[in-house]
Amino acid sequence: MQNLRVLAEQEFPHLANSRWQVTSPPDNSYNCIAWAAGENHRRWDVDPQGFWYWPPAATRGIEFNCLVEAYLSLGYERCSSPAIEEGYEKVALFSKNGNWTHAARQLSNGNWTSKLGNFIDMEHELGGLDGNNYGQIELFMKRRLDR
Amino acid sequence: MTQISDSTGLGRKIALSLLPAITATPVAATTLPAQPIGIGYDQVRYTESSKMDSASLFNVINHEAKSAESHRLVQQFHRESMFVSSVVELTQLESYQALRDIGNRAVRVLISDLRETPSMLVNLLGEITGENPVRPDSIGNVVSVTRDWINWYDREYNPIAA
Repeated sequence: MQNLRVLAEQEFPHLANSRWQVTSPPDNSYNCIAWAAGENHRRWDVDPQGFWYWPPAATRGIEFNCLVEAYLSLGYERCSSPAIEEGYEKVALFSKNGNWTHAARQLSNGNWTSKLGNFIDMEHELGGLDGNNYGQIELFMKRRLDR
Repeated sequence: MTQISDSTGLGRKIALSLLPAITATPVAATTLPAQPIGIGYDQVRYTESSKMDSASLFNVINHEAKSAESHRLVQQFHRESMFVSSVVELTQLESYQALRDIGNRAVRVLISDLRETPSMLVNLLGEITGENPVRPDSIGNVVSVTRDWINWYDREYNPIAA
């Protein structure tokens, strides 16, 4: 587990100065986009060959708006704040150079959960993943828990 | 020229024993035919005296070198892709592009690695071969997508396993 922490902190330097923990071991059967939407049994991606799932109502593309479309199709709406809102779950969508790179999901304690590529699941503070790898948080979205 | 099957590995021994000869009389790579997927020693041509012609010897040695390079690049791919979320980003990785450049000669190594560990290497297979054997009910599932590709390979190039 210690090696996993070292690897993650090498890749995401802000983690070293924040509180975070590994919550599940490396697994390539799902990715961050699926995990943020609440799935851990398949990968969501926009490969031109179509091997991976993408919400059918959304445009299949790497541009950031395609990710926003994907979450809109799942019942999320745009919101301006990462603060906890009773009755809602929130996601933070990351972008770099205009392309989507990552998504994290808010937990009930206010922390966030992320799946890092083919690597681990983790619980972290909001700014822990900002940086060269995933770029910056571009948008928060929310959806009702009782949908 | 006689076509001889080489399931015993004899061809490899012959190839290695003739290494000094190939060094002395190199064959121009541009004169050689493109390598098919899954080329093996069974596709080596031998002369009537059981010695490989120089073009076949070059192919065997070149195949060995490409295979070793592919193995190294696959390991590099697994390291480089550890934190990557999307296939589009995967295609930008140095290892992905190098394996794609190797092309058909890398396919057997990719399949071998996928037999051990299902992974995103399937997208590279799709790009190299232009094939898509993935069944609709496999979409999204790494294990199922990988299984479809292995079945495709066995069906097309490894009939004994199929």
